[in-house]
Amino acid sequence: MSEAGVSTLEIRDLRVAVEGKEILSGVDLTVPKGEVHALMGPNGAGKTSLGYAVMGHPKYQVTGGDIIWAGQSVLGKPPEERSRLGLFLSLQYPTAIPGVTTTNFLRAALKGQGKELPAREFLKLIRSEVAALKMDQSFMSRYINDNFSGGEKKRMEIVQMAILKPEMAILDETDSGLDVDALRTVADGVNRVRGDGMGILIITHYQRILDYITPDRVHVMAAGRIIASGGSEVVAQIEESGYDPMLRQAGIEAEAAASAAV
Amino acid sequence: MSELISLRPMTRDDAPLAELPGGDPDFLHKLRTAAAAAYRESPWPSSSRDEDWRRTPQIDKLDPASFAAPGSSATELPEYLARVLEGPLAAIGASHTVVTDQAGNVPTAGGSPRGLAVPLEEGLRQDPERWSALLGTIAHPGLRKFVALNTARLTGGALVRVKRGQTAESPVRLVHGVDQRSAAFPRTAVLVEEGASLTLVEEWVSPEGDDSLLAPVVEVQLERGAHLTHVVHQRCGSRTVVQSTVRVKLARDAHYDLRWALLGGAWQKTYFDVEMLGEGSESRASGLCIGRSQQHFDVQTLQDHIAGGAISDLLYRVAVAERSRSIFAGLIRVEEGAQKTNAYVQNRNLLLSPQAKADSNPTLEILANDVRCTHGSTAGRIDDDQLFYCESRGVNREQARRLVVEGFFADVVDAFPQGAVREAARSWVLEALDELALSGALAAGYGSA
Ligand SMILES: Nc1ncnc2c1ncn2[C@@H]1O[C@H](COP(=O)(O)OP(=O)(O)OP(=O)(O)O)[C@@H](O)[C@H]1O
Ligand SMILES: [Mg+2]
Repeated sequence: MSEAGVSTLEIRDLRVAVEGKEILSGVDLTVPKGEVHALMGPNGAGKTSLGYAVMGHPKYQVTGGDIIWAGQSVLGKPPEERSRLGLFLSLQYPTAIPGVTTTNFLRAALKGQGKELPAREFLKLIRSEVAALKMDQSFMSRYINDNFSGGEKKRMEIVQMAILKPEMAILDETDSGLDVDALRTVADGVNRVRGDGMGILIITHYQRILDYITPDRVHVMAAGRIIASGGSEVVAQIEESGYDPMLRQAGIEAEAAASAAV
Repeated sequence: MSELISLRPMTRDDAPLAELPGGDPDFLHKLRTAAAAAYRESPWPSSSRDEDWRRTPQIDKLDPASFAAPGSSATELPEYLARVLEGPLAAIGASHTVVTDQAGNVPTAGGSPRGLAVPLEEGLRQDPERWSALLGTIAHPGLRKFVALNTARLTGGALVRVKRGQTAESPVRLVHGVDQRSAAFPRTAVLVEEGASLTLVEEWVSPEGDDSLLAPVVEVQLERGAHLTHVVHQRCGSRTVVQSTVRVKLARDAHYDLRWALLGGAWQKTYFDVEMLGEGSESRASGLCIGRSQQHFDVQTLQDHIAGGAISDLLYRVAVAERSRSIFAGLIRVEEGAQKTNAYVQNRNLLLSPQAKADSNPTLEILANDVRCTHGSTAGRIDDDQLFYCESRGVNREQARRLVVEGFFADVVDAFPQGAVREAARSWVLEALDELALSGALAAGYGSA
């Protein structure tokens, strides 16, 4: 399916506020199915907030614009419905839920998605995905993300992505905190699903992951909006001279880059 | 079987002596007489005068005399008891199960139990000397108003004994019930002799329906090196008042594991006391409570370190929904000279509605100088980020809340003895959560909403 609008994530002039403070001030971004886009930008630019807004975190209030997924606005839909529609957000800081085992969490997630499996198939599936991310089987009976190391949490996010099989995933700094082998494993995983026609938005600070996963497009966010878009050359530019030249060009003071319009 | 010999009617200030269906042995009659005197002489508890009752004003209006006379034991197992017996612990089997209701012991389908646990009356007849030395000495009549009342009015219960060095293969199960409009005063006495070990499961139950009062007293003696795992499950109907005391004495190197689940009833005042009388003794308690509608749970615990070098800890997890309320007072007392005591008390509360309330008051009273004691309590709502995390993976809000609440209790449930009992505990929690879900108590907004 390659018709316009189908399985495309379209963010149009999106404005988002937290507790009355504007954080995103008109973001335009389109990620079509089957493409991998990268989103970069200085700390505090609003990248994580964009991911939360797309997934429907109640703290991130959309005050303007639209988020359209597969031809339909998702505004007003609860996160669980967005998830069922095929969206996925890998968190920068995955949440621990003490007392809830990884297995139970995943079972509830699959059930919620209407993809419940017979017990044996379910266990087989999570065993193989846990193994694919080179994680020990003991993680299945541990409480989800509870006392996981930074890298283990990131791997577990990818395990979940592989099990839930979304059509569009936002990976928020999934590469941060991964050792070099894990980075390859995660990249392999992403490349695998990419082949299935999945759309991916990778939020990252580093070129490293983009050496393994070549992005179709690269976007730069600052002060709550996209200030530049281009091909892989943008990444090289950032590595070489940082964000300053781009910020100046966009008329943003370096200090203001981090916080959106006050 | 003689009728109960209450010539005077019971009043709130006067508890005439009851008698076992087959008559009391001498020592019990004496004990009851002392208990009735203690009952008469102590004033009715008051929420304005008594610290213990300050947050439970329901006590001011309670009148044990308002319930019907116990009548005689049912010849057939009442339906609510039959249902409990068929429940997830049925595997324990009739020969290890003792059942009582307001009139006394109730015969079960499997005939009379043999072995470790026997109906109170039968045990007293078989071995009066042993039991007269224990009954009323740990939970003595002067301890509390409702212990005095239980002693004066008890008509049944269970005696449990594990002989020196023995390890009980199967758990023992005691079911104490009370029917509508009745008051029941079951008594349990447990003796685990030197080096012996046992798992004991007690269930306090009543049918859904009219008002009733269930006031069990449990006294436990753990001899040197003895080990008891004790499960208390309260699942009464919504109009039952529960007044209970569980009191345990631990000798040197004895080990007590207490697990409790308080889920039913209208309101409840419950005491759990451990007396650490021997060096090297260890008491590990963990309990849970799930409250809904207007339920009120008042739990008061005592970890009394009389000997030095003993360990006690206690963790109590509570989730209160709708307009329910939890009161917890946990005291660690370290007596003079009880050096090298290691004690810990903690109460964690999860508030599931803005109207639900949890009061928590863990305290330390330390008269020795070389001890390690800590206490803590928390109260909070479900974490928004945890909910979002679940929801972002496709779990709907109600299920997400359920998952998080279930997780909140996980460490306590996992502390129940492995196997059938732990699975039963899990099912009690899940059932309580089902009920919360049914009444819409889990469908509300975010934790902070
Ligand atoms: N829940 C929140 N409450 C208050 N302020 C917030 C909240 N979430 C984000 N912000 C603010 O919004 C701005 C954007 O934050 P965001 O986390 O989206 O940045 P980011 O681009 O992901 O940064 P980083 O690269 O450091 O992860 C920051 O100034 C941040 O402090
Ligand atoms: Mg971020």
